[in-house]
Amino acid sequence: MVTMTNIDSPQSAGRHVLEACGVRFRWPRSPANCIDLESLQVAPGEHVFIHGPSGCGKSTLLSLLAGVIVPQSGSVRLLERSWSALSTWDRDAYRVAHVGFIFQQFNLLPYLSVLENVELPCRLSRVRAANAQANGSSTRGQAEELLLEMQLEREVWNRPASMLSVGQQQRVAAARALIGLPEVVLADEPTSSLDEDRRNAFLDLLLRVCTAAHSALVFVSHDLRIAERFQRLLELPALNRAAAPERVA
Amino acid sequence: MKTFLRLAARSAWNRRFVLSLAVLSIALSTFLLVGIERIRSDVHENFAQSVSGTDLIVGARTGPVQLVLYAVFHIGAATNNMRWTSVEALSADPAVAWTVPISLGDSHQGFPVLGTTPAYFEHFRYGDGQPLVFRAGKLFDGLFEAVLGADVADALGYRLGDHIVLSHGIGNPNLPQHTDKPFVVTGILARTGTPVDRTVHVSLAAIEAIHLDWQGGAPIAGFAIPADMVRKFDLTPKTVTAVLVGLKNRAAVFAMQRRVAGFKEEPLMGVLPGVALDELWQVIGIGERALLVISTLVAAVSLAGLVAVVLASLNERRRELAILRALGAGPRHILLLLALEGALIATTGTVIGVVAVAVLLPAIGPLVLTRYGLALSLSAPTPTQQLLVAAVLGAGWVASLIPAYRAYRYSLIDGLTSQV
Amino acid sequence: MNPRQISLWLAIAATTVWIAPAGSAEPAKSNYAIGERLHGGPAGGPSHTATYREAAWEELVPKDWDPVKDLRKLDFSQLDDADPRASRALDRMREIWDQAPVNRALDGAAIKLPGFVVPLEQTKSGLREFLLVPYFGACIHVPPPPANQIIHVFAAKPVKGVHAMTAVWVSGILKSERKNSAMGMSGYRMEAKVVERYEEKGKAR
Repeated sequence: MVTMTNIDSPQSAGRHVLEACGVRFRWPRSPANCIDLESLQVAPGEHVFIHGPSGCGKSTLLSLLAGVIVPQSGSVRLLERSWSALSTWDRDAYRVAHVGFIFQQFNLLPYLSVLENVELPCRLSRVRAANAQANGSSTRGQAEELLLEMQLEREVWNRPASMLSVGQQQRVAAARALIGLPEVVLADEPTSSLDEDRRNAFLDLLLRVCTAAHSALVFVSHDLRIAERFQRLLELPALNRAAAPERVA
Repeated sequence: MKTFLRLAARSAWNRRFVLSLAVLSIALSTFLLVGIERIRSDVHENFAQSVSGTDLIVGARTGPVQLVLYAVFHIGAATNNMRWTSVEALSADPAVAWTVPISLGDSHQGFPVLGTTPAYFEHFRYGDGQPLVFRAGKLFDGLFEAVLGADVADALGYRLGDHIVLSHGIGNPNLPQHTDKPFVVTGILARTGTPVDRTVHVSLAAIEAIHLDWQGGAPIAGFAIPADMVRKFDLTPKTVTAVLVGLKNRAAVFAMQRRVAGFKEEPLMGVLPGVALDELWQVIGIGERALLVISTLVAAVSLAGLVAVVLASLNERRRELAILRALGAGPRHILLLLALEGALIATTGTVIGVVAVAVLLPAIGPLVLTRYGLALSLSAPTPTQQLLVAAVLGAGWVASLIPAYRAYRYSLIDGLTSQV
Repeated sequence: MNPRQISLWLAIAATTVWIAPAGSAEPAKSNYAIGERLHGGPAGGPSHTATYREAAWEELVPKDWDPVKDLRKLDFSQLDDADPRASRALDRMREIWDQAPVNRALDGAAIKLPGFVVPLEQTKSGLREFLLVPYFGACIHVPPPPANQIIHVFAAKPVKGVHAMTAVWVSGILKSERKNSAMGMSGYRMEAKVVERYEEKGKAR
């Protein structure tokens, strides 16, 4: 078990790592709001499960939290900084420095090897690279550690990502999300394409590594069965006053 | 930047089969452009150096270009000849320093045969005033002796002492042969890079001799004169094809030209070789410009192919781009990535094209030299060639911006949530 | 990078690709009229050859030469074109022109003047030797000038890109040689230090 510490976090004082206030968002061509949220807070290192059926705006919420889209009113803050206050350019940089992503599927670049995929965020962000290299380690070194943590042996490390099974790919995605110690990991239904056993195994690994890295985890899914492993459960239809049965996007 | 370059390279390598077609088409168009420019400048150089030191070429009154073509390049057939008496009159003119009469009409295995006097080897110059030099043997002395140009000897593998038979006429593969009067090779000339290399040289008397018992292009039936008997006849030619003239004062060439044009005994014309060659080059120049325009179009088409290939692949790559967005690549990075990819393809294609020119042209050089008498130079790229290569490269890079811009727009629209 | 910038770049690239072949091709034939002469003067002359005095073609003709002296006797209004006396007169005229004398006063003069090229020796590195004549089309489309209006030029450095009837400035020491004018042998020579293309303002080349 390796120890990793967050060196660049202004959150050591215990503030929220993610905070959404009075957020109202609608897609450009839609008449109604897709997201209408009063308040959502995530503490540092907290594991949050957001549950909701399809169409209630889960992915949109994640995009808002990640600063990919900005709300028409209200604010979303990451580490005390509001996404709306940053330019598009700065938002991208800020996002890669502090946020890790896991999608439902097709997370990896098929033409890069496993190791190269994991290292990618560090190549695109100096902050992440610096974090990875703290304590005399190296980007490659931390990538290998994470892969081992996610139970991916050395022999797959140099294979092209396209040659891995779905389960393996998701685990690589998790390693990639955690390299460089981002303060937040956002996961958009990462287990939906895995079968039962793999799902539990994956969750075990993910939660353990997030804990060790002290990264907050926001996990969005429609599957309630795994909710109990998390510290906090949020029902999106309850939170989101604008939830609609069809997906508006 | 290095990251994106590597990403672009890996991504392109992943789709290398489809992209290699784009690379090949760009390579081909570069090869065409640069190769044509090289050949054009080589042809022009060879051309301009074919004759030197000759002030006037005199022949029957045809056109200046035709006269130069057969007097200097030994191409084509003279429609009219000039009389020997005119040659003598010319030689007697006080302004004339030397004359070299020449006679064309026969050939040997596709190479033209030139009948001339020893003065040809003394006065003919090429390039920068360089004289003809023998690499083996010597000038013809006896009647049925021949001096070969370098290409004739190399292509047909002749050595001193070999016997050759001349054919009557040029071009047709089934020509009547002067089999009863074979010639022996007494000399082989060193290579000049001019039409001299492709020519078989014999004396004027020999031309007369082999046609003594011929009439109208065929041997007279039952009237063959054997080789050893011909010497008894008067072998002064009655007509020749043209005369090369050197003047004592070059500036008086116009006066001489006027005198030739006003010659009372028969219609003649005199041509300044430099002027006639320039005129000929103007005609060829139109063709060469057309070639260059076509090559440019080919380049444009191949670049359009590149754009099409990358654009077509964009749809499948939207997921890939969304992943990169999620990992911190901004829309401008995506633009850069795609632009780099296109630039890589264009650069690879261009480099392959240039290397192909550098490798292939020397390889086919000897063949071209033997077949067409054209010496291809192995020199470094001329400024024009460099400009052409830069133009193709530049156009390729700019063309890559089209799919790059498209990808940029996609990445703005899709954000992180592309469900493709 | 907005669409306008991209269009601009594409236009630049397209222009480059099209200009490159045009630049490499031979320069277009100048549109001088047959018989046209060049204008000298400060606007046209090369500036660095200040040591060379600009001369005019007229200076090359000795003042006392009168080529039509013998022909004043003929009354041309009485002759038509087919009359043999007309053609004899023409022949006589041309003979006189071929034997035109030189102006000895110009021997050794450092001059520059503009003219048209009749190439004599083309080599790999350029044009080495040529005749300079005063007007366009001389000897190709129209009869050549008299012997004292032709300069036999030797270029100190071979000139590239110069062909028949190209307009140039030549600068050098003029030599007048008198050998045998009955044979049309006298004439002008020049070792040209500088041979430059002739550029005239306001004229397309």
